[in-house]
Amino acid sequence: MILRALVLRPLLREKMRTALTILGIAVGVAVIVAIELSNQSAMRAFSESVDAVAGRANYTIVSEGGSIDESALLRLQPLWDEGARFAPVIDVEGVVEPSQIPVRLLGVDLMSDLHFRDYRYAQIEAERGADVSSAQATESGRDVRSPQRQLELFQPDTAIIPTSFAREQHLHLRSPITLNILGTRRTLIVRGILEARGPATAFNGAIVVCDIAVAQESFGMQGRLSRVDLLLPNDALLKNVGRVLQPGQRVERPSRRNERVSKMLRAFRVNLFALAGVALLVGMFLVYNTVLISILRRRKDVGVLKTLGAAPRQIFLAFAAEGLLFGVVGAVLGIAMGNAIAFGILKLIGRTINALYVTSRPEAIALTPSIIALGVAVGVILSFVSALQPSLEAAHVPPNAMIRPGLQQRISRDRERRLAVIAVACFVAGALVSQLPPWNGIAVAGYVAVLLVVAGFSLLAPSIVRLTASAFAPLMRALFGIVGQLAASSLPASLRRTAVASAALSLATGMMVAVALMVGSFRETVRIWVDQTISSDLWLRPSQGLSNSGAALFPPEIADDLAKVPFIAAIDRVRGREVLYGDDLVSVGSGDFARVADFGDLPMVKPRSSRAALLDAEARNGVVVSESFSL
Amino acid sequence: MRIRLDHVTHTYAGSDEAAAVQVLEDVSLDIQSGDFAVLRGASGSGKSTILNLIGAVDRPTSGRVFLGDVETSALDESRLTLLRRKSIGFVFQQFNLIPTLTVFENVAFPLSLAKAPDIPARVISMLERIGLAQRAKHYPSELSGGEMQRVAIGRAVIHRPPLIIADEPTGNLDSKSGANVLELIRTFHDAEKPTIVMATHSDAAAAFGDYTISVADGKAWR
Repeated sequence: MILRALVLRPLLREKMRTALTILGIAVGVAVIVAIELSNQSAMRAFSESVDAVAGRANYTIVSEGGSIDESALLRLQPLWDEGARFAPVIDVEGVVEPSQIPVRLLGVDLMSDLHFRDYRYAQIEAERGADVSSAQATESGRDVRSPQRQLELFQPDTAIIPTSFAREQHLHLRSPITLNILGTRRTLIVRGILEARGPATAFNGAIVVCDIAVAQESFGMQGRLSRVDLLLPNDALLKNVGRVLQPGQRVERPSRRNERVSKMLRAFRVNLFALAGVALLVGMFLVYNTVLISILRRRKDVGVLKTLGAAPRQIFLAFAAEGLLFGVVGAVLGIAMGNAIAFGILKLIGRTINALYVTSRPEAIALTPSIIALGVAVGVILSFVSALQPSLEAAHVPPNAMIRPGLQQRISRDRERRLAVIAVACFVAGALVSQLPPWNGIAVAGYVAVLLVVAGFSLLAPSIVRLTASAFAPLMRALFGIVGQLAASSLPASLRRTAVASAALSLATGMMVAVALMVGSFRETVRIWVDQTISSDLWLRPSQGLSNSGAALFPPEIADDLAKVPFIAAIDRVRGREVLYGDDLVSVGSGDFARVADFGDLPMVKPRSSRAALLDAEARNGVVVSESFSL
Repeated sequence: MRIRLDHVTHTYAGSDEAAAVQVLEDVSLDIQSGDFAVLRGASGSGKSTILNLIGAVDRPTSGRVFLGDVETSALDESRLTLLRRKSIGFVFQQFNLIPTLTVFENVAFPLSLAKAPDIPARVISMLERIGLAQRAKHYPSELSGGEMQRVAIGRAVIHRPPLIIADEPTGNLDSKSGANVLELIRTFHDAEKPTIVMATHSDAAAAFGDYTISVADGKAWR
């Protein structure tokens, strides 16, 4: 009955305040859930694609240089008798011309690949040279599974595509498909259409399979392989494999790539979560304020109930339950909102991940039990924690509280001074903590420092409100007369309420300003960086697809041809790709240092002169590294 | 329940802006079990403070307070809570009903705290005794002052406490409603013989008690 008297009925009576508090929690939870959903979706899409392409391979040989000489196969040959199976793979990104749709080219040796991946055909060209217009030229998937029939497919211009991709691109058997891979354009003919299983599901079906020889010859990769997939019956064979590896090559599990990508995405996720954390902090202030106001408004009732014999524990549990109730309802609403928001931001996050990290086409949102648990835990725990202090205070309301009901809204000068001292301590601690190094590559200390600054300003809120109210009192009286004066004096008179509300409002406004400044600063930094570093009038790229930017190449003769154009003063040939450095993927770029020294203005930390640094690097066969890489 | 105050002094500590105020000075009282005692005095004389000390909602600055054989001024908060719950009924000048509970729930509250059996039957019976059975589902804001005070009396006596504290029970009522309320209190006293201590400044109200204790300038005497 205490819960009904102090919490449930008042919440129903004060619907607007209840709704706003629940909304505060729900927004915080929704942001967390939406970020996690979108991240998981993007990561799952990538991971499933890697797994689908890897097939049954339990190991894979990769090279730090990006490609492997196909002579590796000859060295692996003796291991065949020991049960090892291996398949050469060309796995590169490109685009379909002229639509510029990003696509993955998988070049495989069908004979050895049968051990690794299942290709199930939905449609296949019936006979070599059959009439395209004949509807009878196709056979059902069940009839075309014999290896012999599949081998017949692989002609020098054969492309196999998944059903979904064929449907999206309006391709049929015998349709020509033009691919631009590594800057080389080649038209192949669709001779088979795969059912949506195995490798055909990778990258949402945006994949083209062809014979490895076709891939090598058509796209300038003669003698090279992206990797060699291995199927080892036992790990003891790893030693034997290790013996035949060339320098720069290594064996790893296919899942290792997922781990690397996951590690790469971690900082991105942490940043997003930090923003969501601030939203939740605002929600916590709201819950604290709501429960506090509940207690202040019902202080007299609490006093009456205690006079009648209600125990402090019962009063505490009632108000703590109010916090819990806000948390549960806010979390449930937040999860539903987060699910809806995730649909909206999925493309945004997917695009960022595509542009900055890996090729991945995020799939549908999947609200898993773990995400629901995360949302509920975040909402409920934070609401409960926010309600704890005011609930404890309510438990200690004396039974005679109805005698002097209004007094507890004040904050004494002594307490205000104590809060100010703690605030200064928070600022000092924040400054010291911010000097700590990152933990596991994440600036944990930075986040803690920000939290301490927020805590400091929140603790200063009573003093700020009191001083601001005093400063504006004459103006308020001049403008609004006695009403204005009353308004100005009522703020310091109920500081416990007004200070928390002010802190919440300041935090929310501060977050908006900070995010706007941060985004603006990023854009400005990029603009300045582009202005300073790219001084060319024209910047040519082989394709427009973002996903292809790391892989596409111009044929060398294009630059030679351009050099002959009379009005072009200088050409800088630039090439970039990602390579493994230790266990991290890093971007390596190459260009003509002398050209950059002449025309560019690279902002340098050490030495300050970019010209000197670049010429020195060129003379000594050196490299220039970014400041973050050097750290 | 016998009540004794033994050389009690009480001072209210001041806040930032107010100085401490001494309201009782060396007060000793002895009220026998089953008495209907009336505290009389002007506003601010210390009547409500004496009631708060007797009702175990406040502690004396010095001196001792006994309810029966128990020295309440020496009990910890949890024991005081149990004592108030089981042994004391309160009637206030401002009624102090819980605005979010219905008449039925307000009257049932002490029984609910004590986890008593047959709560609905006992509450309905009490509402019939105070003449508010038809108002069971109403909220306090829907009642007149006299009705609210009758609900408060029903809440104060439903668990049959041996002590009832009444602080100016007619202070906010017209004379007719006030007389009805005092009649109700007297009826309960005659029927169940609890000790009643009532503060009032009204001659008419004082006439309902067995005797009067005067309170003035921090002192109390019979």
